[in-house]
Amino acid sequence: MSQTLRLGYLPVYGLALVGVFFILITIVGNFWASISRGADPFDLTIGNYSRLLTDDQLPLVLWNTLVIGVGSVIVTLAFALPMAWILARTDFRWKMIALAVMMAKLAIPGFITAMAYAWLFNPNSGLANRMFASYFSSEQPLFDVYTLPWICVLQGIVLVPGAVFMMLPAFSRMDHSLEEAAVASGVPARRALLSVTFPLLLPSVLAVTCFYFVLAIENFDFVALLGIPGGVKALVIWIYDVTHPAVGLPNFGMAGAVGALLFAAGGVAIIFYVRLIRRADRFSTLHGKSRYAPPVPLGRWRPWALTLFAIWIFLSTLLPLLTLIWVSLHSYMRPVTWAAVQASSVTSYLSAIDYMTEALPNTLILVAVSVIFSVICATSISWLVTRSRSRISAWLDFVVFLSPAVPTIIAATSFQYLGIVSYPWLPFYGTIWILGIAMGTRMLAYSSRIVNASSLQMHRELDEAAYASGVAPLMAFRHIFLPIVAPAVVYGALMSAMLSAKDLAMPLMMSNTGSQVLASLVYELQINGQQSIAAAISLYMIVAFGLLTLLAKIALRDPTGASPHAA
Amino acid sequence: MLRVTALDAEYPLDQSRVRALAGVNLEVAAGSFFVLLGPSGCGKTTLLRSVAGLERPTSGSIAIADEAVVDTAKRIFVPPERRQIAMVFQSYAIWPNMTVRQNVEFPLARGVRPVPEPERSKRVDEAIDILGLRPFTDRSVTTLSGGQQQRVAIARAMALRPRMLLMDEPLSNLDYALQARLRVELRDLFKQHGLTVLYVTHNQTEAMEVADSVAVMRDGRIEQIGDPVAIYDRPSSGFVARFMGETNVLPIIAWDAAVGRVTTALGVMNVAAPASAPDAFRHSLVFRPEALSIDGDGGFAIAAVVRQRLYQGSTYLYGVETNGQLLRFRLSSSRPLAVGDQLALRLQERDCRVVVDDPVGGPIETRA
Repeated sequence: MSQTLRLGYLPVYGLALVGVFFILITIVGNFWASISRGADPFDLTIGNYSRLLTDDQLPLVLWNTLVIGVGSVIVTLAFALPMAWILARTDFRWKMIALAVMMAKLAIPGFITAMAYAWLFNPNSGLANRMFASYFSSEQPLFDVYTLPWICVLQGIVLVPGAVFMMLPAFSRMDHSLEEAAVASGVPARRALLSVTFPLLLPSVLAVTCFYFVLAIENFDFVALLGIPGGVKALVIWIYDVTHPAVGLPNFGMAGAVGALLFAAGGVAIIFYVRLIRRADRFSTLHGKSRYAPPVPLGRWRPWALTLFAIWIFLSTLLPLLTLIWVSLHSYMRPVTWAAVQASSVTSYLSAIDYMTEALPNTLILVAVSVIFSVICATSISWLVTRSRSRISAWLDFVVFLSPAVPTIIAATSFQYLGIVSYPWLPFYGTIWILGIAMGTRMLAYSSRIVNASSLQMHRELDEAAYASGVAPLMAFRHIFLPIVAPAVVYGALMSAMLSAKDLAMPLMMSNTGSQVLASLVYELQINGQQSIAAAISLYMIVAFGLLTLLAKIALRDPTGASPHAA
Repeated sequence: MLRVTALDAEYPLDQSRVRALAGVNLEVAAGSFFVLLGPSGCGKTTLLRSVAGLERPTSGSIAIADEAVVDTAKRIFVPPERRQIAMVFQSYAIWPNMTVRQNVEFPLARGVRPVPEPERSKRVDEAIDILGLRPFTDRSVTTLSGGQQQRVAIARAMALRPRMLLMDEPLSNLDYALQARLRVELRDLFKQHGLTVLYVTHNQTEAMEVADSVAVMRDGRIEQIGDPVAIYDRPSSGFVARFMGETNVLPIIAWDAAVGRVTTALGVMNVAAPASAPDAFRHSLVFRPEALSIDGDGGFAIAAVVRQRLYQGSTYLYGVETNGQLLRFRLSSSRPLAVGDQLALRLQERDCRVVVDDPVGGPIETRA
């Protein structure tokens, strides 16, 4: 009795499969590289793995990677858990502002935050360190940001908004009446919290923990900007090092082998994640109707809640932004003094424009290719997964769902390696186009999740009514499915435009001369000591990303005020 | 107009397969209002959706106006958009991104059989007028009430001039008074336009009011087909009797087909029994509450005590006890009885029937 395979949807199937094909490339390319001797894909070897496993630095690298993963997650949860609970369940008065800042924080790329902290606290010339030294006539720097604990703390702080947004639905959806039932049955309120609320929320929290562990060990921003100068070893840096040797050719075989190790480490966490998500879903179906739960009064905890948010906003957003602005106004690193304020100048903003002549058009191409590719494929995938009842849809959903588990740096290695291998027939290696496709593939999971959520709210009978009225599938797709999910598609497009433009790992791995984008330009400028230009371009980027985020929010709001999912 | 032959449908559920339709045979005459009636899970919606082409039967055949749209033996499966039907859904399924007019017009303009102008506009206007939607023509459908939304869905279906109109519990999301009004209105409208209608409902009152023919379904099979009067008065099984409203079902202890005598807890009655071999455990005696009266004479005498009284507006429904059996009995509200009253009831034996009764498989419980 399965739904007939609707041949009319063949183009949709095709586009979805193209998307999945590229997702598979992100893994297959890496593994293929890891068993290849060189650029000849059929000259196979296990030498890369044996060299990796006998390498002296392997234990230290694994230990550091574990510390980065666990340390970052602890910091993230220390902020995100209380913040999610405060936002979901209490009468905290500044919810809207807190949520707005967290959205706005998404517009600040992680590597720019890392860069700002490097300017403040690097042991040699960090602004804060120098000011501390001059005020207290100390020889020692206040902080050394080029160390493992700092990487964990800063990365942990930056990952907070995503973790809060991930936990928020579980926290606010949790059926309040379950607690009430416990209390009404004579269980004390505190015991109810421990024995009912926490166990119900635990799967969600653990799922977030696993997911962010993977993000933390694969994130390139902080280890690149703080770890490389400090000589900190980690898996991600290893991959970057072997593909960007000072002399000689990039060693994709070794990169593939290290990547496989990174993938395995993340894979274990992802397996736990999938199991926990399933359990969380099972718990969420326990309650039938969601009901307005009266917010818990914060009472004398109110100042503490406010302090928590204030600390996070200061560390994650305010301090880096102020640093960027200060640095952008001075041609060299100047401690904050009245004389320095008077000597401020905006010339770096003007010269920044000259520096962007190549990177800006490239970034726009990168964003356009990535967005067009990801939105078209993601919408097709969404349709298949949510509306087709096709047998391959469950399998498709699984592949797309797990694709973020492939670290960006592995995906980059895959595309680089396959780019070289296929160069004789498809000369795209090192171009902005292959970078755009690779980036678009990374955005697939994100975009399709957003369209899925919208599509799932759309009643299946809306398609069936079209077929039963004599409307062919593709026509129904175009005139009914697409218009209804359009706000979600636009939202997904704008958000992936921003995410594509702010990513550093992919361009740094894949950019050649001629395909430099803004993110890699800023990185290069700060390495070359042109901080003020780097800061100015960073601020341009943040403003543009802020506008994109705002537009995306507006796009998701239905102009008619009527829900598109009624009827 | 519609002929369904030996239709089977299965779908996977967890590890096993559920048989949703088991050898269904059905014929619907052109211009008739045919109702599929049954409890939830009986297969009526699966049958309707198979006719629409939204489900693919495992075996069997379906022909609409003598055109085979499904024939598993010949590997024929016509997709829904090519069946020249129209369907009205329980959820209305009107497209929220379109206005009232666009909803009606879209299938005519973009369907596989497009209708050219000016014929298209004429049909759209006509359907809008017939359903009284003129004041809302250019409104977004999301601003309409439930009843108005369902009218849009019906206008959309009628403008198509389908060979068959399929309706899946179209009124069950509306409030009771609106349901009652709309179903009579719809019946008259469809009759007036000579439409052939296949209508799914679980509401026996609705079925009896609108249907020319009713098929009562149970566990993927058709239990009985007939006009509403026949099904109400002459149910073929205990299941149908119970499903078609209040009824009294008494297990048969013994029978004598030759003389026409049946023994139940009430005693021995003169009721014609089927000539087939007696199988008391699978047969019951059924009669409606209306077969019992407190006036007149003749029939079978029953002495009973009133145990329950349910007010139902124009009548009271009583639960009366006799010989340890609870019987249902209806009387006008103008002559109320009190709990504890002693009654001398008379049962018209010609209104009693012996039917096959398989209470084990019956999802509907007797309410006595």
